[in-house]
Formats: sequence, C-alpha cells, structure tokens
Amino acid sequence: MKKFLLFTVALLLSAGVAFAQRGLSSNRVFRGNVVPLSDMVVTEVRGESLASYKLDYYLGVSFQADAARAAEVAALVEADAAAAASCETEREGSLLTYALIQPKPFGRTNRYLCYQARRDGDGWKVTLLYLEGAARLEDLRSAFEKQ
Amino acid sequence: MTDKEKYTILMQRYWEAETTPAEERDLARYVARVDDPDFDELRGVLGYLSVDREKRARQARAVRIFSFAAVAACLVAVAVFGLNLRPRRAGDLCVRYAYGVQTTDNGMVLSDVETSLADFFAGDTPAETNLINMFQR
Repeated sequence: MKKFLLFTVALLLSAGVAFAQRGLSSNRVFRGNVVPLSDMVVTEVRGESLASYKLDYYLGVSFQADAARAAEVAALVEADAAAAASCETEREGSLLTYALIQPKPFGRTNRYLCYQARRDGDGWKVTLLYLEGAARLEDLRSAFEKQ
Repeated sequence: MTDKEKYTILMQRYWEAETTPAEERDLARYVARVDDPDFDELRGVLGYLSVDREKRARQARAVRIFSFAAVAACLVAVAVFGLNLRPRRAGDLCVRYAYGVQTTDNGMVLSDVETSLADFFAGDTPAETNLINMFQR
C-alpha cells in the first residue's frame, strides 16, 4: 500500500512537472528522465504561498550526481541557456556550475530556470529550479537582498 | 329568497362556525356593501378580524424579510470570512517529495523554497562568493 502511495505521488509529481516547463530541455530533469524521481528531492509549490515573491509556480529538484550525470544535466541547461531571452552562467573547467536563465516568457508570465552544481565529495550536488510568475529579476533580487 | 335572507342564513352558519373560507369572504363583501343594522355585530367581528389579519400579515412579512436578510448576511459573512480564512485556494499546491518521503507541511516546504531562492537571488553568484571568500581569508 505504501509503495502504491509513493508511486502515485511520484506519478502525480511527474505529471505536474510534465506541463510546467514545457519547451525546455531541462524538462527531462524535472520529469525524472535523467535522475529517477525517487533519488531526488522534488519541491513543488503553486499559489498564494508564493505571492510575496510575485511568483505563481515553483518547481525545484536537487540531487547528488556523479560527473557524467552532472555533465548530462549541465548540457540540458546549456541548451536552454542558448535559447533563452537572457542568461548568466559560470563554469568550473568545462562544467557549467551556475546558470540563471530567463526563457522566453509566456505572455506576461516571466519564467526562470536556475541551475547550480556544487562539489560534494567525489560528485556534485545539483539544484535546478523552475519559476513562473510576474516577478522580474530585480523583484526577486530585491526580495532576497542581503541585509 | 332575497339577498338578505340568503346572507342571514350564511351569518347563522358563520356563528356556528360552519362556513367555508369562500363563504366567509362572500359574507364579508356583503356586509361591507349594505348598511343593515342586523349585520352590525357581524360587521364588527369581521372588521376586527380583518384588521387583525392585516396586522399579522404585516408582522409575517417583516419576519420573512428579516429572515431573508439574516440568511443573506450569514451567507455574505461565510463567503467573506471563508475566503479570507481558508489556508489555500483550490489550485494551490505545496509539497516536497524527498527520496520517497512526502511532506506537505507548508512551513517546512516554504522554508526550503526560500533557502533555494535565496541561493540564487541573494546577490552573490558563486564566482562572487568565491572572490569574497578569497579576500576575506
């Protein structure tokens, strides 16, 4: 029964993320096609809880990855960066370690793809966020501005 | 049989409480129309009853209006307070699924969200952080 519930939750999450960031190569990561959903921390928030950030939707995944897996994810993110309206990226060697990407907006809805890979032991800890909402980059920066 | 005879019989039946509502209305119309002292007593009783009935109808109307107003006020209050107090809208979602464990604790999930967002939007990119750390050493 527990397995069935977990499977259902995983299925719902994968169904939810399937629609969220359509058109992005990184969608494969959110859908669990690169790293299984059961090996990731998936956070999904939609609605009023995000109103203070002027966001409507937040989808985040984080997971441990070996070098090959990290490179695979980085390649997908780079593909999105290449097609984006704007982006900031950083590298460590040949590996993309940071990206703040603004894919083309859906109408008045701004979209953000945030990627970070940090060394973690022998591998990498990868974090990938997808955000949607009216928030401009300046809004998000001022919301989290260090005091 | 004259009208007076007919209504006198009807009046007798009225006193005996044997008349129907239709007959009583007919009788009331008749005694209101004629000025015959034989019907004075009945006219007085029917007049009193009709005033009383009107008064009760007014009260009933007032009670009905008040009831509708009270129900409407309750509905408005429920709608206003219900909308304000409900924690989340129907389409709202707040969930974390970590290595097979689901969490729907809003506080916990939103704290994670805030931390993750701060990582990206708090001002310093990783390169800037490295530079800051380098010069702080």
